[in-house]
Amino acid sequence: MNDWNSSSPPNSRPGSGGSSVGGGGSKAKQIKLVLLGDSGVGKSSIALRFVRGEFNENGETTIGAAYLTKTINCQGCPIKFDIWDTAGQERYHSLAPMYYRGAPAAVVVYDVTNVNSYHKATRWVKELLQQANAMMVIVLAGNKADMVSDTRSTNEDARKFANENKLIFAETSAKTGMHVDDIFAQIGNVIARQQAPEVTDRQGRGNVKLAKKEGSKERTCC
Amino acid sequence: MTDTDELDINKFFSSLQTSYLDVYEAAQERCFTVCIPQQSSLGNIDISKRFVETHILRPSPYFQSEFLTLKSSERIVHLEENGKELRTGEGFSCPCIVKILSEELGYNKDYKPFKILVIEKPLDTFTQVTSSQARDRKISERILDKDNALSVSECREILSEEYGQTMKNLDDSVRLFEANYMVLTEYMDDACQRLQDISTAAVEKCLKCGQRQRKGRTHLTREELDTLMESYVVGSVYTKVFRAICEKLRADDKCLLQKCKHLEGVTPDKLKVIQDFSCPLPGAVVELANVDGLKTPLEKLHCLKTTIDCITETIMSHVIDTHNTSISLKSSQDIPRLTSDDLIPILVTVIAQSRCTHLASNMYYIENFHWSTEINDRDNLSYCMVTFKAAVQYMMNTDFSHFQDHKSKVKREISIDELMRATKDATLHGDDSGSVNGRSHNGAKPLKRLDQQLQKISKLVQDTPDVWNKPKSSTIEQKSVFGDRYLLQQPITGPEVSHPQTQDKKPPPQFGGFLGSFEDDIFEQSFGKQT
Repeated sequence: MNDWNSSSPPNSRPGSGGSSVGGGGSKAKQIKLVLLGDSGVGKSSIALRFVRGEFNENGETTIGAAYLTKTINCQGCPIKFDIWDTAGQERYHSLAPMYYRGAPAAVVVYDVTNVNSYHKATRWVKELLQQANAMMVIVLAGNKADMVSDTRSTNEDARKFANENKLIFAETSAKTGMHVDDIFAQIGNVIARQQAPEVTDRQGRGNVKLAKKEGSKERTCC
Repeated sequence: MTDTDELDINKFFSSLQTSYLDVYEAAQERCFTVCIPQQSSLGNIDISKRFVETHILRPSPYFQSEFLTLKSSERIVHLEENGKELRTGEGFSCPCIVKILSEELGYNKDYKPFKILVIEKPLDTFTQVTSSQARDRKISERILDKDNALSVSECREILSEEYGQTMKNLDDSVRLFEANYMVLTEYMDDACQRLQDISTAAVEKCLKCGQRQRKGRTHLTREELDTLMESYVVGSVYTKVFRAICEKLRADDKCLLQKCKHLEGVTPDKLKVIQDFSCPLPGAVVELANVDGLKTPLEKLHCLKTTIDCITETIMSHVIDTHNTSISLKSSQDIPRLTSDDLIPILVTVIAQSRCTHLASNMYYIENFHWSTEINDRDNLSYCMVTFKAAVQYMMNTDFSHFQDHKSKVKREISIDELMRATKDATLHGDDSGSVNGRSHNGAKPLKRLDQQLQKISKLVQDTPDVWNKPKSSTIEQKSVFGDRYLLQQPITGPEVSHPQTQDKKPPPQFGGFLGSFEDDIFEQSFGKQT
């Protein structure tokens, strides 16, 4: 059988930190971002929350959540995210490399109420660190944070794991929108900084931390 | 699927980030709303500073839904109550209503958000474009069309019109390749490289030619030329190249076809797709079945994308219908989302039904003979390609033969050939039901009830022998023993479109005298063409 894994998708640029799109002098930096994580942890909900935000809540209905795009501006630089959802079920695990190949950013999602999903997320992270682009910006996102009143005990391991592997760590809630936009903004900033010649290694991402407001009430279930 | 981002190609947005960066940054700093007229509405309008300032809105100190333009307190823009339109009012020469097409959120240096609204047309008036500019834009739009790729003849038409002499030379090169080059399955890379060289050389000539001939006019960009030339060159030698690819991937194509047979009649819910998404997808099946007939890699790639778009749209309609009639689903948040976990198995069923004989070859062709630089929305195409690859790999690596076994056990229809074979067996073995050695078509265990039914059928068939002897051409006029429904069905050579929701329904009682006697039979075997 032909080795389907060996070939790159058309137009993908393995190892690149994204590409530029658009005509004229100003080109939006285009970032392929993959969402990884166990089935049911809320990968697509995070993407939809980021892409649709509040605008579509009263707008048209859409069910497609496998491929989404959104452009944001980071420090005056337009960054277009191409968000690729990946299948989370175990039976599709072997297909994931096709999706994350060449991606400069990944958001690995787990459910803070489900310890198994956290273990699977750590597996994904290890796989990305081994297989994917060395410059890949990886976010570890503990989703459904609105469902637990105090996440300090649950996120300790995750925070430690993120620090050890130089990941961006965030607790998110696709339901309330908590930190969802922030993680994409932070990814955008890191990617934008990667363009600068002085930032060339993985240390660049380790310095980015989401500012968590003390006593924040964002987690309160709406 | 989300379309290309308007901001990527918008010249107004582009000017904001270059010529008027100071204005744009000032607006960001104060979190003002930036209105971006969509690219197609801009025409040849001059993006002046005044024009830019008119499209940056600051909130009115008086009313929440009212805005003032950046530099003028006399020009007022109202946000309509529905939140989807802007209305220009005082201070504008031609007050009008402008639709908001989409809303983006930008962040300034302090991470504070500001709104970017993509609007239907400029808030101010603009001049008309010239006919030559309109024509050039029309050509560019055809090349950049997200939904359709140009065919070989269309590419030739555009290129010949613009670069007649270069095209004559190009045709000679293509003819030489066609006549003298032997495409070897083990050296496909070389064939691809040669075609790419031919194409690149022609693009360079066209660019030089364009500079000489069309000074002062906009002409096709390198990306547009690359796309056109690739489609023209590769499409021109398609038959020769694709034949070699099919030879190279014969085993894969065969394996995939075998899997399709195993998946015959299997609906998405059988592959663990949630019930909400399990609906007939005839549009997608027909679309994908067309892929073999297309010639250029881009045409085929667009075909894959259209197939996925068809799936999404059909399922969306199905879910919305279900949602509207279901009392259990109350808010839009309860509507299930189509993720990759669902899309892959759904695509597997569509591939199985479309019965593409060379899907693996087609995908190899797309991947290896499409090199033109990315323009516009190519990442959506990339995503579709990867999803197809994932579905195909999943098919290749998964054993679906249990569906075949299961199907043979619960088969609801039997073919005419099987019926005749069975009746022949029954006749040969006499009338004693206990001694009949009838078997299900795959040689499984004897079925006594089936034997009994076959005997009855055999007797009836013997009573109406003429049915089998009449020529096929007259079948429409015939009164078949299997009813009019059977007569109108043609042998399936193309895609199979299954209707999982309806296939379990009992057919209307239209059998007439022959099968009428079986209507209430516990056997419940329907007759006619096997699907």
